[in-house]
Amino acid sequence: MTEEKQVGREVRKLVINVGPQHPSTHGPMDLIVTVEGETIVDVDVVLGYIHRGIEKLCELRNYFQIPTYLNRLCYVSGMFWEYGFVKAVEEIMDAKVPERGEWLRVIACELTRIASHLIWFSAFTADVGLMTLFPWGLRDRDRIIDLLEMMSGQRMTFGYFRVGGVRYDLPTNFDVYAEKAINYVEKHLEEYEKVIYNNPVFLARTVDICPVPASKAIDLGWTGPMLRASGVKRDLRRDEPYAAYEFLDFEIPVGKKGDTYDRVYVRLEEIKQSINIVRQALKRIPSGPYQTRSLLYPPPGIGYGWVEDSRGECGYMVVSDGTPKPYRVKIRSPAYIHVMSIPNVIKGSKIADLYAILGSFDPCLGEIDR
Amino acid sequence: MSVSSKEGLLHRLKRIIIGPLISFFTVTKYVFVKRPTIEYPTKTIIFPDRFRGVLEVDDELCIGCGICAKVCPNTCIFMVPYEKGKPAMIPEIDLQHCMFCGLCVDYCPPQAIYHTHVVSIIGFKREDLYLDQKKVTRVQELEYK
Amino acid sequence: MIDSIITYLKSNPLLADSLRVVVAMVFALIFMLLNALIFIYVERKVWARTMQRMGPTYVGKWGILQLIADFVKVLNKEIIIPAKANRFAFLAMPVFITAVSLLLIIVMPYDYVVAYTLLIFQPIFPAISILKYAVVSSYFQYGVLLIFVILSFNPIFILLTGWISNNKYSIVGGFRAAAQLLSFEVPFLLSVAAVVVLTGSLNLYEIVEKQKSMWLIFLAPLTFILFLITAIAEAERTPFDIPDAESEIIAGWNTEYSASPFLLLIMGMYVRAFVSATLLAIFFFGGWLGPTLPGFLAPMSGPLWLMIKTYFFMFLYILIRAAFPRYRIDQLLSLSWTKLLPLSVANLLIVIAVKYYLMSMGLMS
Repeated sequence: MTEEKQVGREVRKLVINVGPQHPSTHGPMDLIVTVEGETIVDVDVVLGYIHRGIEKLCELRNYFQIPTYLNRLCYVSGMFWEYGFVKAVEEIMDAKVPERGEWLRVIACELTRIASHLIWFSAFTADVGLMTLFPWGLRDRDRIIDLLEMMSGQRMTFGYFRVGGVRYDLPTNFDVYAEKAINYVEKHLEEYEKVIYNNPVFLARTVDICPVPASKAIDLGWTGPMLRASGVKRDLRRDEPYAAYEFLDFEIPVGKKGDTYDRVYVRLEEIKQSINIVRQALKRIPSGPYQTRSLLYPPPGIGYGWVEDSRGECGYMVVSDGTPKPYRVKIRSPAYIHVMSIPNVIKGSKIADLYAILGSFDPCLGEIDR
Repeated sequence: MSVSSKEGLLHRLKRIIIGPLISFFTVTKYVFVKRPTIEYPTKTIIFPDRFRGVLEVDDELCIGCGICAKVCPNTCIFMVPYEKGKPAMIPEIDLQHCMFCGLCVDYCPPQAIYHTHVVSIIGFKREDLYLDQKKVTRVQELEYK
Repeated sequence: MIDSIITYLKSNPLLADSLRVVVAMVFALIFMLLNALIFIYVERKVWARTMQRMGPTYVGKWGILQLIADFVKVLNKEIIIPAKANRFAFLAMPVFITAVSLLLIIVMPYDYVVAYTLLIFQPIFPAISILKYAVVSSYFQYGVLLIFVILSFNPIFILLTGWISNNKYSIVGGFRAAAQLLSFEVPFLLSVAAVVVLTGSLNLYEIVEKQKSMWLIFLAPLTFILFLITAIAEAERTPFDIPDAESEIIAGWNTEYSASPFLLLIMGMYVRAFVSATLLAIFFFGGWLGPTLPGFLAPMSGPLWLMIKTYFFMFLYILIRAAFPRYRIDQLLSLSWTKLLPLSVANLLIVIAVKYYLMSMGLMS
């Protein structure tokens, strides 16, 4: 605690530790918050409580073994993390992925995006005190997870991506199950919107809370839904099309002010767009092989693979020296960049809003600490 | 739906009165809706075909090549001499380290190692979770029910 | 034999009165604690339904015995006292809070509910009719006033509890609770004043009797809404549960409490919530007024109607908790001072005008 003299009155600053064990942080992270009354003066972010050394682990494993670890970076959106690495290795190898493989990748990624945004939504509503929607989001996510389980064999740690394609083809009758589950989610999505957008208390807790203008968001290196909430139309799926996204028709929702409300709005709209993409992809998926036999390990070289994660742009830089194991793997985590920029945007907010703001950033400690 | 501070008084009143009612009744409706819960011990779900459960080895197919032990990222598969003599070596699996990635299944030449739909293997000691050569061929009998 | 006891008691009024009070208090205490338990159980079940969860299922049929199991479990826990806390005060505060909340039973008509429900056994045990004398809460001419005196103790105790725990979260929670309860006291009292103006009485029984021609909800709907909002805030329930906002300040002013003191605090909170639900039923929905039941059930009809109305509000509390997030503390205070306070003053003036008009028409005395 520090004391400071101001003109005419004495202001006492209180230091509150939020975490690493706290009911509302999304994992073991520590925020050292200095408050003046109810206003936040300063925040220190302390990370690294679940550092598992995944980057180092990658240097000790063969290329085909690595994707089984990478989905553990963030088990909410495991598919993207496998995809980023696979994409980087394919870039070094110059490997060709068969057309059906690309479309299967799109389906897997978009289903994961829906699941990830749904679990984010549940956690966020719990952060603002609306505990009822928490199990609703998990319920809907479970349907999507069931689909992913049918595709890949596991519910969260998929191991679905392979260099040069995907591991399995679609299971039989997948489109029927998918249509059912997607309709289920879509029906309930309307209910979420009814509950939150009409709720004066929810609006009071989100509208105009911690607005971040577009220029600042770009300066801070934000990507993904956070950047789009600030009004910048940037999406790797459209700007740097990969997989089969260039053949698909979808919109990129953007927010106006970049406040917490916009972050909620953008993510809920993205769920709708993802549903739309999955529907199109299931209808238009070409037949053919879904994987090719590729080299067991790439020739010497450097590759960078980036995909549009549910949180932003996740990137892998893979350095290969021609041995069966990579020389270096560097992971760019979008959530790390978002969380580390909290001190830059949060000053002047109320302490009670800290949790709503932190929740709207969608932190995932698994990928932040690696 | 956008929210602006410059809306008319009538519209604002409508939002303050109708809005809470809509969200209230949407939630209230769920008191009467059937719940999707499956109460686990009494009812169980059906796993999809590809579900990766506890590994099992078919000793009639196994050729003892040891590829599964080599591809395992966590090195939790160990090749040991087999009591029955044929095949000469058989994998033993340490379930505490297994992460069910399925690489051993993918790379097994005669497809002798495969995933079952068993999810509950229960033990009181660490050794109970080590599938030695006696247990690894009959995992489905070991399932706790 | 009964007659001889009655004649003896009549000759000894002091003993008779103390006996009546003791019997009434025991009735009311048991009833209130039982209902607080039912409230917790119903809340867990109904809230679970809105969440699409199952709620307690395993202990007993539909998990009815779950609360008793929890109760026993919590009692078995260790009472942890923080090193820097004042030991005596730390343990005394939950007792004070619960005791003050339980004081409400001397005014609330719960002894009436129990006594008249037991009267249905009159055909079998005629002696039970003596219980009619055990209804003492009707004697409080200033009952409404007493309720608010008791409720206004709360902020002080909660602030002290937070302070004594010597924990940052508790202090923040305690100050928030005090700020919230104090600022909602004013509109709360003003809306009650409107009720008192309309009925012309401070006695709960007379307030109900005055509603025989028309329930107050139809006469003063705005008062009802104001009272509902402020009563929820006074009971510290969502959307005004800022003092124990669990995602922000862990559990607010009761962060450091465990085991039986924690049980007492929770009990006190649910007792207050149940009392405010009963007050809503009595003030606006005509309390125990309703059609009389046929046959031997006739004496029970009053208590039954009161309980049905109370439980209706209980459900309303639970569903409101399910449907709304939590306000921020500054938003809450501005809601109280800038919206509810002017509204309740205006409401009081409207009610006085209505009362004057009705009196001049001769519709109301």
